[in-house]
Amino acid sequence: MKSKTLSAVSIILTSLLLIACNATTIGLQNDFKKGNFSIGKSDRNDVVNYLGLPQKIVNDDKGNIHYLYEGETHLVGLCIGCGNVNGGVGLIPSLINQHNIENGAEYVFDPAGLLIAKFESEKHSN
Amino acid sequence: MLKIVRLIVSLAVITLFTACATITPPLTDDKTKNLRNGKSVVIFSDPNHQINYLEDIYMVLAVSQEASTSSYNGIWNSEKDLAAIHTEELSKIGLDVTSIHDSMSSTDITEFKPLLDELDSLSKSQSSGGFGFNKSGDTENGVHKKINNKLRLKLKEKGYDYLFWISSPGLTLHLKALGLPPWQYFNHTYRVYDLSRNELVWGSPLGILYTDVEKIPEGQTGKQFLESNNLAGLKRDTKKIIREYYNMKDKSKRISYLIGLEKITKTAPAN
Repeated sequence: MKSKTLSAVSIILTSLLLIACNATTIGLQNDFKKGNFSIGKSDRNDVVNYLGLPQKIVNDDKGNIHYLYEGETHLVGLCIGCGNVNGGVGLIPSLINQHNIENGAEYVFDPAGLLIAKFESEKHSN
Repeated sequence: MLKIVRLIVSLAVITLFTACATITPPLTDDKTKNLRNGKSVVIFSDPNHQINYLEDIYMVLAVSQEASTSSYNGIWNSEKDLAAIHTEELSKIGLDVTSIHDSMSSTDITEFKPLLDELDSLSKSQSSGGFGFNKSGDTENGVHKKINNKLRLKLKEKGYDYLFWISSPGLTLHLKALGLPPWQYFNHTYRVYDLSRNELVWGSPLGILYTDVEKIPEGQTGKQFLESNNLAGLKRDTKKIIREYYNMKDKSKRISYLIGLEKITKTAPAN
């Protein structure tokens, strides 16, 4: 009886873990250097094709365009012992406030879209 | 940090909108008649120019939620493309409507952008917790009752009688845990202004429209799903959701019925 219960529990846990493993992620890139973007050669399309859209786009006074990338998501909710977080702000807001993004990159393009400067952080191993 | 605060505020506002989406009653017959007989212009406002991503992460004993955004500011002119979809759908209802992008030159739109943004700036104040403020003057409950007179005169000069001002904080893709299908929502605020009287005649933040997305192909991330191939997924899904506002199965929730342009006919029970 015990072994039957144990195997049932293990099957359920394994299924749940498998479901978790198969989940779709947002998919932020954090290995910026791997893109091998070259100043004076790469353009906006090269960067967006590899990294996706940036988190922020800023135009400066010179007409240059800055693409700011974050390599991590922001923790906005945590629900312990529940099945789902449904758009809430979480039960442990202190965790939210402590979460800082430490991995990112900035790419600067001239008005024609050519890469003229880049700042890339090292990939963080999580 | 600012982004987190903004996201939390957005989520709180979404919750508030869901809880208290006060929709103005449908227009009376004489007003809908005027609306049908008049010429209308459509402005779609997308002040944030961003996709909002949410991801639930299953941790056996808990679920956490992570968030990110993607900016398409200067990459995709959503205001022009999505105004065209609203215009197309409103014309199917029988209105004489034109997108502002087909009516004004891009130079004119650039010139009037600050005036258009005024309508949004108040929505942003509302998003910052300003519900119920400024009940006198030109605003009520954070909604402009009038539009800037310079903008109004310019639209009148172009021959328009009504302005459909439609705004959205952007598409949200919520990736669920435990094998649940992802959700997308694209909340809209509608306002209809009578340009002759400079008066808000109908408007409301509508409730959020939830839509199950098509299955995300295996191995594809949320960003790839919406952003790859020149934002093909984002363009497809925003347009699809807008069309649903006008073509919902539940007719009573369609824009045409909410405004009062179409009525639900109740069939008398058979004796």
